[in-house]
Amino acid sequence: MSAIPKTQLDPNITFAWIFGRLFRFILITLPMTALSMPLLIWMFKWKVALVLAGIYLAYHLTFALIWPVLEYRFFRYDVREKDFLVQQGVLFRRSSAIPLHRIQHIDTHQGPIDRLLGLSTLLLYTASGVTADGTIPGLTESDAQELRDALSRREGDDGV
Amino acid sequence: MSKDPAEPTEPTVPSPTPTSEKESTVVSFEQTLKHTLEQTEHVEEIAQEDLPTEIEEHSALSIATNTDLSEDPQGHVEPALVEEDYNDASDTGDTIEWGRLHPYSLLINLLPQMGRTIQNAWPLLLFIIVGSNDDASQVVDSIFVLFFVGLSILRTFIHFLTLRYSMQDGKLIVKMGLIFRQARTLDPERIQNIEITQNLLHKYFDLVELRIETAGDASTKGLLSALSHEDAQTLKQALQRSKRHTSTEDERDIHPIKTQSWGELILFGFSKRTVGTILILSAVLSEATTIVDPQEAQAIASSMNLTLFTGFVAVSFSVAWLWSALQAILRFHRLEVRTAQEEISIESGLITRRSIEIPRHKIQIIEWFEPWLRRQMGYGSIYLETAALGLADGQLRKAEGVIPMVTRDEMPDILESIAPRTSREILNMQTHAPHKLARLPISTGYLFPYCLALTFVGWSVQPTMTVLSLIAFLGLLVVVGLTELDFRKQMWAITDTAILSRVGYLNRRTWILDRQKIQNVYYEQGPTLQVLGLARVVIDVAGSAIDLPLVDVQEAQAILELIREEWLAA
Repeated sequence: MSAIPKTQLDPNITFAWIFGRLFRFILITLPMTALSMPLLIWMFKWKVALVLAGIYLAYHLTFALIWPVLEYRFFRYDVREKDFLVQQGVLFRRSSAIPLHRIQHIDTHQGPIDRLLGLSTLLLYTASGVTADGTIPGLTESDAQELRDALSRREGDDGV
Repeated sequence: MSKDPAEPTEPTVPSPTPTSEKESTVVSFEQTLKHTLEQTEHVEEIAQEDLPTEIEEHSALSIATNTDLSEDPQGHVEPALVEEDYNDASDTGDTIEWGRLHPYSLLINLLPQMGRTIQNAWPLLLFIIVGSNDDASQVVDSIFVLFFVGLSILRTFIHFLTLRYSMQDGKLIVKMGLIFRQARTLDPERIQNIEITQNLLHKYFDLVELRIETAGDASTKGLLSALSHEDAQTLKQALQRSKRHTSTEDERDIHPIKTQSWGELILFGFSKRTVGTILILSAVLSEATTIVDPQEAQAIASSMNLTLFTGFVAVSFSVAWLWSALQAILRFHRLEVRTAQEEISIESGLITRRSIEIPRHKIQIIEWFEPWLRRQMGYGSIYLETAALGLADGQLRKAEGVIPMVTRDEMPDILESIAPRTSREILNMQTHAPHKLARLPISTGYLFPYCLALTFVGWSVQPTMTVLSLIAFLGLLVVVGLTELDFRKQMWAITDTAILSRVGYLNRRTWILDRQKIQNVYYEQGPTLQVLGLARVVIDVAGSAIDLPLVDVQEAQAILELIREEWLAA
């Protein structure tokens, strides 16, 4: 198998990301911007303040509406014979290879929107650090189960 | 974990093997405390007798066959049973009977414990000391201070009373805590390093502290804070035997590989402090003077001329260098690095003597660190990192083993004896250079301090535009020069067994790691690297990671595939 992974996530993950980020946009970003408007107008002229607020909101809207589509497009993974390959990121891209015999444990996460869409996220941990070394969102429950079984730790020295 | 006192708790002195666990009585919290106190009285009675005999006869680490057990007035372990268990245990590992800290640990631990209490409550204590102005508040303040002293004494006492350790079936078990009780089982195979420390107090009472570190755990400091030499050695040897399941004398065949002279240590101290430290010290000093006496500060500032400034810089450097030389001597005096078959032992220290034993196969990364000045002296330092996140003197340390001054000629031999599997090939290996476009990202590392320095000069000295432009131009030349030197010295190599990576010019670091230790590997590209078509390969090992110099994306993919070959073969 080639070094470029092929498997894509479930397309529904884009909706989960868009919903989640839109909620955050409406509940946090918009009110915070509105609240800071008087300060911005006091610091700059009101036209400059409006432009600044506009740029800030446009950035967050892009992150909520367009970024998920790009993130979905760039996210690929594959389970190979002895390792797991993940490629992700739009501006900051990252390709990881995690040897299966070094996986210490696997977590499954499901947020409220994920639950509505029947999706889960798998988190893979090796002994290298405290954060997850691999995160695979947007898996249907059966896919998640299948992948977890495929990745479950093989026999071997843990290298610690 | 806290336990309800009404709930049955684990026995304080459980029987040494699972077979006798069935016979162990379940005692309540009150019984546990009572028993603990009784035992303390017993130990204190003994402590009044002749000290050497006491250590010998009532050693905290009486091996299970010791007749001492039959004399234990508590009678919690039946000698016959122990004898049988000992015979059983000879197959699986050593058994050492439940032991405790030496009674003098009360004295030895009190000062550090008070230090920790003060550290935790310093804002309150500062408020008390600064805020007291009349008699009534002074009485209240004294009560507060007494409370903190009392708390420290109580904590030390509880630590001594409740800490128990033993080895059962080759595993070390440590129990401690009164309200929040904790029982920790350590598998000798998982031990990253064993450290024996002796500070002045320990030396006075002829005791030592034993620290045992496992991966990713920073909570082992002062685990067994006061043991007699014999007990510490017995426990250490038992742990080593359990790990290897063998104990032939040949394996303890010790080879000295490096010592350090005073001259080398002074040079180490001299090459440790950098300009940054001097700048920070000067800034703090000038700020302090301005706050304490603004007029005096103004006077000093106005009378500052070139001679005075040069003198000030010279004095600052001398003080900083002397201070680091002193620190180097305190820490590394009489350094002895030795290798046994499987362990590397490093012993050093003038006042506090530390001896650390690191199993060879637990070393994750070997770092060869050559700051510019040390390199000019012909030396570099070797740092050995394991997966343990050790705490030494309250500070998190990354490298467990340090050999401060190693000449370039000695380096291959020392590396060879520390890591024979990895270093044999890699030092003679043909290395690869980074991609030529890597110069651009490297230069940003030097451009940032350059811009900072330029802003500082422009703001503080306020030179004319021509002078500032000249300084900016000369600075840029330095940046370009450093970038080129850095680029030319960067390299990487991958052999069948190891990976080598070198970066940096002013602070040059070379990392060597065993390919068997790799946890995962990835390459990443930020927006700039994507435009340049470059990627940074990062290799994660337990507790640490190394970067390779920048390569193009296809090469990064090839490196991932090359590293994967090891996993396919596993």
